[in-house]
Amino acid sequence: MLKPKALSEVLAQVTNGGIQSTVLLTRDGALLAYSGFEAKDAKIIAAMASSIFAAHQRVRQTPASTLPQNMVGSGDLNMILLDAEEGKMAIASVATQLVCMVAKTSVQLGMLKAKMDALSSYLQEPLRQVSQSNN
Amino acid sequence: MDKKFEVLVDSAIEKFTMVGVDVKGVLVCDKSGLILTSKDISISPGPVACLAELAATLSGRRTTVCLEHNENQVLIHQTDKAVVAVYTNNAA
Repeated sequence: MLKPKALSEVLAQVTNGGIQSTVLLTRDGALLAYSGFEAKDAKIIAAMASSIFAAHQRVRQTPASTLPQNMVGSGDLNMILLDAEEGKMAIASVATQLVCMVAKTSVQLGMLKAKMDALSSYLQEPLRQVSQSNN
Repeated sequence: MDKKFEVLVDSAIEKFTMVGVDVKGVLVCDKSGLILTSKDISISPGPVACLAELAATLSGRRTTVCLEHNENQVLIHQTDKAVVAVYTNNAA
């Protein structure tokens, strides 16, 4: 089972240096753990991140956009990086869940991606074990 | 962590300066061309990452690329996880 307090502490370790909030959520948009923003904002971020990720996955899976396996962009969607006017966001797939990071505009995209890669690698195995035990 | 990264870049520039190299700026990006940090440089990191990758493909191993013209030179080096570009002024 996941320890909620330990999970929040892990998320808190990356929520610094311009990263305003880190959220762990299910594919359906339910909030699992968060750090940075308050619970109300974290729930909104979780819902939005899930929706954005699902929308991109749907586009990739429609018959009209089916890509051959050896083409760039084929395969599972791993991460979305958003660069907006007032901030940046990264949404990554980890086991059967999603992780979302919200950052200020001052954070470089490469740094955001590097932090997300590190967090995803760290959480991959524990979350995989949890999802297997639930099945 | 980002502050530590910048301190690392600053100390690397100091070392260059100590051996008489006039560093104009430093750019650090990942292999996809996404910028990690930069100092006094506003150049897009994409071509830097692309050049480093091309050089590695051509030579078969990690290589330092040197682009030089009359006034400046650029040194591009690919490490395990990042690409570093150092922009310097040529010695008079």
